[in-house]
Amino acid sequence: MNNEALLKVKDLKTTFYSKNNKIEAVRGVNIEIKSGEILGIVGESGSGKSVLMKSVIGILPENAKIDSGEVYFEEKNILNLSSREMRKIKGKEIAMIFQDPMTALNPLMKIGDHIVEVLVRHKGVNKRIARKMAIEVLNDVGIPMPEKRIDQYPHEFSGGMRQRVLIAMALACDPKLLIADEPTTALDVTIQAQILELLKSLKEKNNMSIILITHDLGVVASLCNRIAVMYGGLIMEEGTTEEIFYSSKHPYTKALLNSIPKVQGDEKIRLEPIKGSAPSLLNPPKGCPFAERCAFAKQECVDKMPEYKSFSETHKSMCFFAQ
Amino acid sequence: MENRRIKNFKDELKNSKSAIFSVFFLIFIIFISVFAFLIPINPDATNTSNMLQTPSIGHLFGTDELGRDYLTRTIYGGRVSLIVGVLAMIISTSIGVLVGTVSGYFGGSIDNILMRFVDIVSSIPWLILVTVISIFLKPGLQAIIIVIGLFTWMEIARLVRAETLSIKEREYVLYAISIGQSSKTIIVQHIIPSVFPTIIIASTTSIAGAIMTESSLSFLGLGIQQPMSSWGNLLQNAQANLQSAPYMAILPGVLIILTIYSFNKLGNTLRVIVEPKTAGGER
Amino acid sequence: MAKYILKRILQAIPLLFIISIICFTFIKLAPYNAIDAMATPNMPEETVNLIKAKYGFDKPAYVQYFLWLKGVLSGQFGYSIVTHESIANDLVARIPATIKLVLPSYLLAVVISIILGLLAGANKNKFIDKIIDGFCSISIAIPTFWFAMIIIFIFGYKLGILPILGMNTIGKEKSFSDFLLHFIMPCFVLTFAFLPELIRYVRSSTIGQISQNYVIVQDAFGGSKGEILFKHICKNVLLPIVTKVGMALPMLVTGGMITETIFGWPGVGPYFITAIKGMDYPVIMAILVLSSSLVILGNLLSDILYSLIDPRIRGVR
Repeated sequence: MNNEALLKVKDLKTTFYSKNNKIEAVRGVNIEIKSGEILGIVGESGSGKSVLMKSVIGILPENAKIDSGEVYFEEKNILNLSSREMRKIKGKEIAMIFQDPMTALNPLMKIGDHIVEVLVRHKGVNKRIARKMAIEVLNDVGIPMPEKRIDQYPHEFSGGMRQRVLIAMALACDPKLLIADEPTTALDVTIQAQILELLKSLKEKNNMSIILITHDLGVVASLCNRIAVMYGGLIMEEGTTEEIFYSSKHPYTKALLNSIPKVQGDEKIRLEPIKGSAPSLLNPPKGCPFAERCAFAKQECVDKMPEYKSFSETHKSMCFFAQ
Repeated sequence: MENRRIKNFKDELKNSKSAIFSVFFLIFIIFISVFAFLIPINPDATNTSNMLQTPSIGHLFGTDELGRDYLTRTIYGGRVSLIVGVLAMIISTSIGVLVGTVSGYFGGSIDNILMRFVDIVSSIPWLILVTVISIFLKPGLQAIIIVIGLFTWMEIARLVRAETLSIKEREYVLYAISIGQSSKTIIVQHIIPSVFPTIIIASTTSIAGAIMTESSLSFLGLGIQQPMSSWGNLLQNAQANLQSAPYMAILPGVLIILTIYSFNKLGNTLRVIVEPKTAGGER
Repeated sequence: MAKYILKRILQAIPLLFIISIICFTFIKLAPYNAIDAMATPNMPEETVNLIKAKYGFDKPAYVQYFLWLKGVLSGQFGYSIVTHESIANDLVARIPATIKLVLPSYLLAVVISIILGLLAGANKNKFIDKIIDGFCSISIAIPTFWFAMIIIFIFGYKLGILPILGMNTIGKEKSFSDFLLHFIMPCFVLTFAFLPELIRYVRSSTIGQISQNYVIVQDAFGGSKGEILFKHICKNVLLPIVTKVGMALPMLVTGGMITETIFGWPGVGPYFITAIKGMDYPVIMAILVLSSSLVILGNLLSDILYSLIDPRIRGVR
């Protein structure tokens, strides 16, 4: 089994340009994922996690540009591909599912047609065969009576069901990498659990890698092998799930973990929110982005960008004082 | 806040050559219309020995079928068209603001009835409505101003009503109600000033529409009557002489196009003052 | 869904009544008398009174209204004061001519505007959008009659290649190619008149759709720009267009008035204009009734079409 990284992101920088301003959303991110792994990217809104993945798959809005960096998928730099070549990858080798299932489907198109279209485009099969395949994959994601529901319209499905349809669409072509951008944020908690279970079982079945983007630590705990914590457009800490949860080495990660309400434990312990708010990416600070909110910050944190310190083969943290 | 809006407007102007052109053109045409009396040529002076002359030194745009200087007639015609446009706009804007604010502010059955009425009147194709009403009035300047004014207020009413609905929920209005100000005072002192930008924009489009309507009606013979000239009835004449004197069609037509275009462009540019967030957005 | 259609039809009926009452009021207010259409100046007074009684003019107003309504519903529109011809007959002859001109022009304009509007909306503020939207700004300021005059002058007089009057050359009524020759210029002018508003409508609809999530999703699944625009966005944009087309129903009678008049096209337009100039009130009122009813029916039609096409309304279970 080839253990070279499936996806390698090297020093990626993405910026949003408007008439007079620019917003640096991703400021030099290095990250990898191997086949068969589930990587969780955790961060607040505005941390850049979505933009990072949109840069990878090439669906940035018009006013955003990748300033520098490389993205290697199966050892090829996909940032250099023409848009036509990239289209062969989108939806086939790398597939993405999105946050809001309610608006992600074309309301005037049957859900079966959504999947059939992707199959015809990427697998080159005719519509009849594609339809059979679509029914199969709808079954795999747990849609009851798929032969009937394939001809229904999105508004006839609940939120959770629509998300399953989107997952079916993503899986239809057996992608090697699935990027899930906050797939459960817009869903009820009970449905959340179902969707996450579904992702887990599908990953086993299809042997694909998953990148799970979320702001919810609880979600990554149950699903992911490795976790990367993002803040202010940079990765603060990266490690296995155990390492992150039980021996985190970054003040931000520690603060995040502390702000989760615990079921056991002393009822009288107060919840600790992190004071302050995310840094403005219009004029990003030249030092550590978390410095102004960090309890341990010193002057050099504000003046200089910290370097990564490794604590194990898999565990690294971007902080002067991590230990 | 005012300064930001004016700054936005200036920025928007600077960015758009067509907007600058529009403003200057409108200033030019209004200026000419106002000071038309300074031109030494009499627009009504006929000269049968000089009929249908193509443009020359003495007559920059030629003469019409009665030997009258065409350029002068066009300028005076422009004055009439602009007056019709402005006065009709004033009528339709007044009615529209009245209906819109009352309907939006009082809501309930008043709103229902008024809006149903607006729907019904808007239902009838305007050309038909306008011509039907003009039967009851003697054709001419007054008639056409009244007729256009009476049948173009509906869109403004809808816009103003929508704005009123959102403004009346604002705190200062609720405060005014709570201290017992009368509805009339509230509408006049609070609602109308807030709706003002929308009114300004709607009125520029209204002038443009009125000029177009007047031209069409006068062209059909239902508007301004001879010997008074408007761009519309000048074109009606031009049609009769199209084969022999095609140049007669050009000048009034081009002026209509430029004037309507400029008013529309002005209205679109002013939109920036109302919606500062979308500066440089949709035209 | 049949219930929805039924509901809409029931809602339209009172509106039609109201419009008919308004029209009838105008008729009564007009300084004329339908009797004048049927009487001649030499008739003795008793004959005139007999005619009045026969047509119920001595009865109270509401009775007259019902009589008139009954007449209208059975196709009796009365007689022209000027020509003493039956208005219904005239309309039956003229409406098809108008339809032959307006329908193809409007459909052509719809098709062109969908293509141009999609392109403009998808490329907002880029060069192609500036050209298309610029075209709209200018053409919306061009009076139809002026444009017609210029076209007539160039192609009719100067180049002499197209006939400038009427729908047919006398004697060639059966010839389709002759009809086509007469048809080209007015159709061009009319299509040009319809275009700017339609293009703007499609354009803004497209701009609204482009920022929708499903477009980003299609992009993420490898859809090309063309595919996304013409297979996905187009569907969502067509939906409101269909309703707009439904509301254009009255145009089939009155949409080409100015164009028809200039080109001497034998449709409803010149008929109406002549009636106005000649103070021919019965004709004017007949057309008023006809077009207002068509407006309401058009609205109804577009609502029904919408409910048939939009799956969200269609399959309300």
